[in-house]
Amino acid sequence: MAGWMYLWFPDLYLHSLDAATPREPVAILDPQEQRIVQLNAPAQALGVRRDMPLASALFLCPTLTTRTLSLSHEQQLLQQRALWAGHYASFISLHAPQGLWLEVGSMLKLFGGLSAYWQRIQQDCEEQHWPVHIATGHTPLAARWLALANAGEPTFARDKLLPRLQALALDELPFSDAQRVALQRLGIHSLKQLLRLPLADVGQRVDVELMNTLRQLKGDASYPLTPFDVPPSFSQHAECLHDIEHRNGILFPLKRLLEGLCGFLHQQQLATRELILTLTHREPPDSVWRFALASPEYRYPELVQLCRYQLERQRLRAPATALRLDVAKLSSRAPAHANDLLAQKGADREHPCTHQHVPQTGLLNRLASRLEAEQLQCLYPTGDPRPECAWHTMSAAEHSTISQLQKAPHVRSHRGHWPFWVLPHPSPCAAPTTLIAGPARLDSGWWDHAPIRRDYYQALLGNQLAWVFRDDRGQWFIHGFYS
Amino acid sequence: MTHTDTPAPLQQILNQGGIWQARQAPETPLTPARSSGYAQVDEQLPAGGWQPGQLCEIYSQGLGQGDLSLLAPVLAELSQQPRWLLLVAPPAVPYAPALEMLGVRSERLLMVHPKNDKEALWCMEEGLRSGHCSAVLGWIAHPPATAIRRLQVACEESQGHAWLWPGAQPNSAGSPAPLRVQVSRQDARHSSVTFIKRRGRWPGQPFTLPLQQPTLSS
Repeated sequence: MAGWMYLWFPDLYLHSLDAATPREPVAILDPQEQRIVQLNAPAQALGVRRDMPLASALFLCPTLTTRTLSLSHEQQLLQQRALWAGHYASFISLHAPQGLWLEVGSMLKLFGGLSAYWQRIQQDCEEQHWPVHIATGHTPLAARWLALANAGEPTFARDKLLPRLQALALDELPFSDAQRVALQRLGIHSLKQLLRLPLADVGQRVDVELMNTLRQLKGDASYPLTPFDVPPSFSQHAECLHDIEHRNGILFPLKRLLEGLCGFLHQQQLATRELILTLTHREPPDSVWRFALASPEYRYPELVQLCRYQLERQRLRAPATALRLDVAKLSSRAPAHANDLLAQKGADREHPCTHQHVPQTGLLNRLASRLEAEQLQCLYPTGDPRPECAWHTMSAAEHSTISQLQKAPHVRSHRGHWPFWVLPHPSPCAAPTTLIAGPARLDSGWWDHAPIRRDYYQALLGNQLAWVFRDDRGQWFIHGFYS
Repeated sequence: MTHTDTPAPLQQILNQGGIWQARQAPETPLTPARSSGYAQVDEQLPAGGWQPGQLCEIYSQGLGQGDLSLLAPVLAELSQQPRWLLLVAPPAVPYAPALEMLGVRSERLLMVHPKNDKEALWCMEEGLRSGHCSAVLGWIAHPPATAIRRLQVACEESQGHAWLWPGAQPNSAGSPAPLRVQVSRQDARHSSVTFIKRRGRWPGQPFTLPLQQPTLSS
C-alpha cells in the first residue's frame, strides 16, 4: 500500500539558529526585500508580523536581532533533515524550502504500524527541538496540504482524510494569487466547495494548473517526486546567532551536525575515523581541528562523547561565528561492530559469550581522544624463540584494524620458565650470587642478523626473583622479573 | 537515621569518610565474588574471593614480589571475556609467552602509557566507567586520597575489578580503598601476603603463599 508522509519544518532557518536563545526576539529577513519572513515567539509577542518591512519591525521592537535568510543554507538544513529521515524511510523527496516527503507505506511493518511510526518521528523531532507539522495522505499532495494546515491524522484511508481535506480553508493552501482571486469571484472559500465543482469547469473558470493539482490531490494523476540522493561525502555547516567565545559553546551546534552525520553514516552503512571541524572567525584564517578516532565509529552518543573530550583539549583562538563539519576516512563497518549491540547490553555485567574476538573499541576511541596514538598499545605475540622478538607492541589503532587471523598466529611458545615482566632492553648487572634454576640455553636467530647465544637463569636479587642471562662473552644481564 | 546525639568530633570523623560503618554494607553483594584461585587467599578475602566493585591496593617493593602470581588466576579468567584488560602505566612489558602459559589472553591486553599521574587516574576511571574493561590495573605512585576515592566510586558504580599499585609501603594515614594488601617475596617459590585492610573484617595476619609459577616442567 502506498502511503505518504509530509514533514513540514516551519521557520527552518530560524530554528537552526534560535534554539540556544529562545528568550530574545529574533527575525529572519528576505534577502531581496528586507521583509520579515521568519520570526520567533518573543518577536511575535512584541507585535512583529510576517511580511512586515524591517523598518516597521525595528520600530516596534528596537532590540530585534535580525539575520538575512540564506537560501543555500536553508537548503542544506533541509538536507540534514533528509539525512536524519533516512532512519525512517528509504524513499525521501526534498520539497524546498522546508518540506520532506517520506514514502511510509512500505515501512510500516518494520515500525509496527502507522501510529507507532508517527509517534517515533514526533518524539525524535521533539527531542531535537525541531518544530514540525506531520501529516499522512494517500497521495503526496494530500499529505502536504494537511501538513500545511497542521491537520494531520495517522491514517491513509481516503474516507477518513477527505473530511479533513474538505475542512481546509483556501488561504491555508498554496494557491497563486491569480487562482485565489478567481476562486473568490466564484464564491468559493473552502476546499469542500472547490472539490464539488466538476474538474473541467475548474480548468475553464480558474486555470488548467489548478485542475491538474486537484487531480493529483485525488490520485487521478501522479505527482512527480524526485528521490533524495545521499551526497557522496559529508560536509555541513552551522551558523551561530551569537559568536561562540568558549569552546564549551561549540558542542551545542556541533551536536546538530553530528546528528546529520550519523544519518549520513547510517544511510551509507559507513563509519568514520576522522572528523574535521572548521571554525570560522571574524578575521581569517579559520581554525581547523582534526579529531582522529582510534577505531571507526558511527554511533551518535559515542561521537558526542568523543567530541566532548576532544574539545577539552582545544583552545579557541578567537570567537567563532560558524562551524563546518567534514568527515574524512570513511570506512565500511566491521562485522565486529554488528556484535556491539549484543555486547553493549551486558557490558557492565558478566560476559559469558566468549566467541566474540575483538574487545570493544569504544574505550579505545575515548582514550585516544585525550592521548597520543603511541601511548595506547596492544601486545602481539610473534612466536619467535628470542625473548626480544617474542612479542611486539603496536599502537592500539593499528591493532584494531588488522584482522583476528593475522593477530593471533596461534603459536605455541616453547616450554620454559617464563617471567611475567620482561624489560624491553636487558640491563647489565653483576654476577648474581643466588641462582635458583637454570641454565636454559638459548641459541637462536641464525636466520636474521640478530643471533643470540645465552644461558638463562632464575636468580634472587635481594628479594626480587629475576630472570637473568649470561651472554657468550660472560656478561650478565637482567631481562625480566617473576612476579 | 539522624545523628543529633553523636558528639561533634565523632561526627566530623564520620563525615571525612575515613571510617567504614558496617551498616553501609549492602546486605547481599550485587555481583558474586570471583575465586582468586588460591584457597588460602579466598579464605582471607571478606567475600571469599575478589569482589567486583572493590578497589584493591597492592603494596610491593619493586618488581618480582609475586603480586602478579597472586592475580594470575583471576586475570586468566577475566581475560576470557570479550573486554579489555586495561594496564595503566605498567612498570615493564608483560611477557607474551608467560601470559599464554598463565592462560591470560594477550590480545585482550590494552596498555596505556600516560604522561603524568593525572592522566593515569583519568584513564583508570574512564576504563572502569566505560564498562569495556574486565579489569583495570594501574601503577601510580602515591596517588592522593581523593583520587583513590574517585577510583573506588567508579569501581563501585561500574561493578568492575580494579587493582592499584600505589607504592612500596602503605602510608599510615589510611586509604579509602576497601582492600589493601602487602606482598613481599620470601624465596623463589613463596611470598608473604598480608591483608592490611579488609572492609568488613579486621586486618589479616601475614601468611605464606606458595606461588603458581608460569612454568611447565621442562
